[in-house]
Amino acid sequence: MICNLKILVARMKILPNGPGINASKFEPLIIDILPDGAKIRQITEEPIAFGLFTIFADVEFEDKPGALDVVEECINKLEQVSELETIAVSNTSTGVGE
Amino acid sequence: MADKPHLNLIVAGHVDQGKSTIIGHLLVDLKVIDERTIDKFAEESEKTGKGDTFKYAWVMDNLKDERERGVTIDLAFKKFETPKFDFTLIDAPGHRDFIKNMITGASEADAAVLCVSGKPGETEIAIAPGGQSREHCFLLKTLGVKQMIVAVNKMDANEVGYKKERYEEVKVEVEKLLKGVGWDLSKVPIIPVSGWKGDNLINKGDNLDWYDGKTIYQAFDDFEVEAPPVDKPLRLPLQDVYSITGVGTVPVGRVETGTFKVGEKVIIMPSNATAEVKSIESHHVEMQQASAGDNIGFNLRGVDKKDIRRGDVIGPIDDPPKVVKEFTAQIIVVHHPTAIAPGYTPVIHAHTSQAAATITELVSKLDARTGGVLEEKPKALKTGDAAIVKIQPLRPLCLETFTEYPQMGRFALRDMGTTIAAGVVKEINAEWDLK
Repeated sequence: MICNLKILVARMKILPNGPGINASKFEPLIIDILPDGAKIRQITEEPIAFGLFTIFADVEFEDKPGALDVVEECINKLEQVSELETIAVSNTSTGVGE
Repeated sequence: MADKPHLNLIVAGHVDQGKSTIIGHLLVDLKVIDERTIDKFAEESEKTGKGDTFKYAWVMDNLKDERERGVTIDLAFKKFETPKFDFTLIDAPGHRDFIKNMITGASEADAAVLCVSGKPGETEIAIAPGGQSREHCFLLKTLGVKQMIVAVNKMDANEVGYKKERYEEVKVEVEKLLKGVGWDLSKVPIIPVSGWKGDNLINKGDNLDWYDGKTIYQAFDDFEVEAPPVDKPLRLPLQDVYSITGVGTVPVGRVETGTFKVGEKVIIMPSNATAEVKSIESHHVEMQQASAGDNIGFNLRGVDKKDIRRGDVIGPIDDPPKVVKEFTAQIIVVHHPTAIAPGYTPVIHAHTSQAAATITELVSKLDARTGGVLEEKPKALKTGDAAIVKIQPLRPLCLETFTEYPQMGRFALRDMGTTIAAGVVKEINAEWDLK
């Protein structure tokens, strides 16, 4: 497939809605709901307090208007997500043309 | 690697200034990109007949026909190291959409490389009104980036010929631009480079003998890690608030300034609630005190989850966070389909908070290159304009002046899913009386 869209990656900081939800519990939930053209590149966690974790998800998406909003909306719809903010966006390169 | 201080490095520049080539060549020379990928670039380069140096352009995905060949490489958030630091690279996308994330996001850039082409014509486009380099200079400053290197690129171009005279011409223009935005020129090295050939990226090379300054790589180690602002009064914007069984009310957030201690009584604004800090944890470890830069969760006594919320800011009772009713700001309009006039009401995003806010007065339009006033009381502002304006949030919102609390004094204005402007708070004109 030839794809001429650039691929960006956003680092999203996610606060789950309660204690005990870490990266491994979160990953399958996100994978299920991501829109077409978006995928998880990496997911990590940082323990905060009282069993709460911050999840950091690097999500790839196509560089087109509104694409990041769509990804954010999808993840935000998960009932396990309390707050989400994209803290950095970077250009990337990708395996297009394969 | 673990013991070195870490810096986020953002690379910015107007389109076609050679940013991609600089990043690619640097990472190849630093061996961040694996040999197999480099070999593949070299092979493809040979096929094009453009020689070995062409491989660096392949590192980034900036040309359609290159990507169609199926070359794959991964550069986002790439890490590399120098003798003094660990760096994470952020290759800033051109989209203005992401400016809001850079401003309100917790993971801010610590240092920057601004790429400016030295090629006649290209330099002028980048730093002319509307040029992205001008906008980037302002935005980087707004993001709180205090350290920057300017790479004057394409010194190898035929029209430039590695000539000192051309570098000096560009340097004068860049310095004007930096000064206008408020950069301290003594702290911004302006380095002539060739992203294509590699001169002055890591090694000096043989083509720029007249230049006796540092290479980009050497200049990276002149960056400094800023001491966290622990001596300022406490400011702790809340990212979220939980009610945890057996514990109680648990807000989480990052201490932006000052210190935060167990046993201390604090005020939470604009909710105007007071509470006592019962316990603090970070990385699931209990601590008696947190200070600027710490991401923490803490248990508050005397306040319920429903009384406080994301966007609230915690401070000392005798020096509470300011809740602004009107403030004067310096903004740059990054995108607006028509023009901004008094009465325009976008949404202001600052730290963890957001609220509708009306631009009530356009005080003056500024020359972003000199900082001077271009026009008093302009009727409207367009994309690319820098200006001093007055803004009134429609509900209580915690903000501080950018000079006192940079982390609390920068903001983005958004409307219909787009970032309209970015700015900093110059002065607080009126505060809400919440008593």
